Amino acid sequence: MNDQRFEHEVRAALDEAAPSLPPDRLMHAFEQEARRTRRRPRWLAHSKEPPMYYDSRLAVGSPQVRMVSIMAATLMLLLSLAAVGAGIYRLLQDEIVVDQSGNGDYTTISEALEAASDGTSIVVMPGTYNEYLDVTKDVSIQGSGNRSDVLIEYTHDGQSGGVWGYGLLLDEVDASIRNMEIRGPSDGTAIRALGGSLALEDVVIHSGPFALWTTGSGTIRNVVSYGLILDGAHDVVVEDSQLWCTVRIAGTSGVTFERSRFLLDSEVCVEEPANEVPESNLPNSGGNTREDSTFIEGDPVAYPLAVQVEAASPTFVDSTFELPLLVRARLVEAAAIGVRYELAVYEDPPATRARPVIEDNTFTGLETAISVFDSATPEIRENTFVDNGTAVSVGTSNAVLASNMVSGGGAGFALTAARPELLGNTVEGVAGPAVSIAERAGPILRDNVLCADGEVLDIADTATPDIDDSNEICEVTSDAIVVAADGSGDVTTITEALEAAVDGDEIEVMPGTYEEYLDVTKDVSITGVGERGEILVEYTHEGQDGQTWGYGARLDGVEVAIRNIAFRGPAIADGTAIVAVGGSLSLEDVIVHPGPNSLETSGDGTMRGVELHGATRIGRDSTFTVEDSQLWCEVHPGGGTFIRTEFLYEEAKCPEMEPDCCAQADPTGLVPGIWIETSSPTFIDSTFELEVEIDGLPDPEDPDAPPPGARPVIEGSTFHGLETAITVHDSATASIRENVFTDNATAVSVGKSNAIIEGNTVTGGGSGFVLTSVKPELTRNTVSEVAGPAVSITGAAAPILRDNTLCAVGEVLEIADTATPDIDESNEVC
Amino acid sequence: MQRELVERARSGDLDAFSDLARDSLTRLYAVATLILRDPHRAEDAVQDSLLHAWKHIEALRDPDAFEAWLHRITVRACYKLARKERRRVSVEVRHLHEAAMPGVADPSDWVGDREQLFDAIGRLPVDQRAVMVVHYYLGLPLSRAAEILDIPVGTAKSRLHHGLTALRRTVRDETPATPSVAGGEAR
Repeated sequence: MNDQRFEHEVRAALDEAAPSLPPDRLMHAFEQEARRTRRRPRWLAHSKEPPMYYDSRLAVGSPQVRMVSIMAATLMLLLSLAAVGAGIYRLLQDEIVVDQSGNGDYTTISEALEAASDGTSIVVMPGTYNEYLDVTKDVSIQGSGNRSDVLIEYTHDGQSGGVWGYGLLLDEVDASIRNMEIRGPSDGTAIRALGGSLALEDVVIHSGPFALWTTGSGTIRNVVSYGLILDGAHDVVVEDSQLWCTVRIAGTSGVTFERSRFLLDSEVCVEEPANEVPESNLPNSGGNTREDSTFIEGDPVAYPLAVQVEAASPTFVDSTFELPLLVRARLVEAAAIGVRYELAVYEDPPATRARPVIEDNTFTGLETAISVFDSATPEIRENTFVDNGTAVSVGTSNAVLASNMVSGGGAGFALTAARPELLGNTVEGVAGPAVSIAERAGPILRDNVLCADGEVLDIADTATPDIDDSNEICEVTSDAIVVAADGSGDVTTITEALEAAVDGDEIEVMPGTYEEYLDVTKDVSITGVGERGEILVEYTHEGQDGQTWGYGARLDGVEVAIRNIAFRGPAIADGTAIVAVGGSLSLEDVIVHPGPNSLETSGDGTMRGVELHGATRIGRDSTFTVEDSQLWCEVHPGGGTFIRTEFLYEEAKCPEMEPDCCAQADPTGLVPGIWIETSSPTFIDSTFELEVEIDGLPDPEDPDAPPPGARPVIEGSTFHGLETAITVHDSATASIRENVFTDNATAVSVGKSNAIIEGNTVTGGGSGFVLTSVKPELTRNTVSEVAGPAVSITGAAAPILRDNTLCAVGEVLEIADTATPDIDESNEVC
Repeated sequence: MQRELVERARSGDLDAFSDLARDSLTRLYAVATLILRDPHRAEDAVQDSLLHAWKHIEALRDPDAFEAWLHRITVRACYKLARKERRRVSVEVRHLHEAAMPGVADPSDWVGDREQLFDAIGRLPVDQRAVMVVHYYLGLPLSRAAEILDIPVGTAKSRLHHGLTALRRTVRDETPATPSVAGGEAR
């Protein structure tokens, strides 16, 4: 018969044997007896009563029997009177009531302890008791009322220096403490049990870091404690308790935690730094007995915010961990840190006893939930790990990890050495790896299901894992929509992918030519997978709505990233490869093949590693950063910032527009150059093969005043072989600093602009600076080897020249009679 | 409703307590009878536990836990009486139900005689018997049973396991190949 069936039979047997109804006399007899019984006063609610038996057999039978019953009752009455006297005597002997108000036997618990003998029950009435207790007898101390009604609030004043301060010191006694709260200074131990047996129930201990420290045995049930040390303890059961901040289980035997919670509150739990203790104060490891015990004087012990298991084999079942669990075979802390530490009884070599069982627990949100060090060999079974950085890290240990569930977070199991066994575990939803195996590890993996968002297995070259086919290793999958022109992806066109996508989706495009144009109305990323240039969108304008110019990709108010895609379109002037209307655009490794217009955007964005072989137009109000890119032919930089960007020109690639272009239906050609029109772009460390034309709109009220909206900055850049490298006019106020001009016909020409020209170097070519109007400032510039002049000042210009070095093959300074320059001796004129 | 009755009982209302007790009486009496296997002693145990509960109801912190508390007191009262009885040695003659005990050698074929089974339960140590009664008869999960018995869950599991093992052994040993009458057993 199977177990279930047998249990069913047992249940049925009990049901059949159970009486259907109790005798009527039972309730009646109870009520009669109860009316004769005085209810105990509230303050004696927890004290013992002598048992009062009612023998029901006396209530039935013949009149003779009833007569006998009456006589017996009379006799019992007499006996009862004697019993009452005895009860009072017993009460005096076995139970002591402590009440601050004076209504009990004593007003302090210490007095009660002095008067008590072994077996005495001390009932403590509500109140705050400012005392510490030396418990040297087998007593029970129980609070009356609610748990919070009785508080023992202790200080260390008056205590001997033999141990740390304490609230209750229990010395080799069999004691119980129930239903109260204990509070004291943070540098002591609220309850210190030296050997003996302790039953602790319904107690809250506010102290730390070692609120509760026992070397004995006992039960801890429904206790809240801010710190726990089981040091050399044995046969301790902890149930339904909350243990905060730090727990240390060292050199114990027979310790079990069930349904408990290991908790961390960053405001309450403070990690103390380790303190050095003189070598002479370190405990003598191994072979210690109770008689050997010494108190090591020194600063308080360093304690991590963790559950530490050292040289111990506790069992953790059905518990919840918000503290990391550290398992060591040896007493690392005691040996390494020394500290003020009472040596416990270690009957066996500690290293042979580190076999904790960790079963059916939950670990959440920890950096590393369980760390196994040294030669500890824990059994870690059927636990749940959720959103930890690493679920279990195993060092030099043949740990057994079986049937655990790991979900979310970073990594699953990190195995760094030895030969641990992973059996029937499941890892899923982690970033990855599900299992990492370092070079010295040779783990055995069987029947595991291992999945990860990224890499599933990370195995070092020299590792020697034993992984057979019983394991299910998930393939790395991507949630991206895959576009492949050859039909091997989810769809064959990018347009289909865009239709299927939702905001946030990734679209991966396999190598091929995609003859389509893209309407992008969702926040997506489009990434080419393959070598640069292998993924080509070849667009025409056919079928487009005509509301805008023709385009290859049109982005309407969306946040889009395009990576590693090339665009090629018709060579007519009214089309643009990429049009971004508002929104945010990120271009990376994108190529736009030669054509009239590569990019036009009124939104913000970034561009990196991009080649645009046609006109680039960035909106004046855009915030657009361009790095390490090549922009060809024609650029309208708007509000862009260009860093390490090459502005390139090649006649064949940059066909110039015919002068009568606007009369053409489909005008072709470009207007090469960089056109800064009442905007304020910045150029840094860039290279120019295109001329820069800076225009500012004149202020109608003051045509000579520079407009606020045209303040480009050009710094650290190089200009080579241009007719006029930079032209500033129409009241723009450019800042041109630290650039190098080589072999240009004119380096900088400044019209109606108070430009600031500072620290530039001009070498070779025709002339240096041509100043035709207002009051630009030239400072610390060097002009040399130009044909000349180095500086030409014409019209009504009134520039200020300071600290310049001006040389030329021909005339150095050309100054018109109408000009009024301010040139002082700080300039060096060759 | 129960909470109100408990509050009234705590303030000294015996009628309220009686109402509460009456609701639980059948089960209390059954539990005591099953544990003690003696209706008279079961009455004593229930009587004692009700009086104890009435006098100490102030100690009950959670009114919703009244019934569990009452069960706990009753089980304790049963233990107390059982310990007193332990000193006595009684001999019982068990009459096997001949018709219900076919001659089968394999216990897995045994279809069960519940009287015999209950008889075997009665011969278990009271600790194991109490776990079975609270778990199987009251239908409480072992965690609740452990609370009522005031023991750790692990101990409850252990006692139940040992009890069931002993019962199985008894069933196997007492399932003869041919019908028979067993003799008495000292306990």
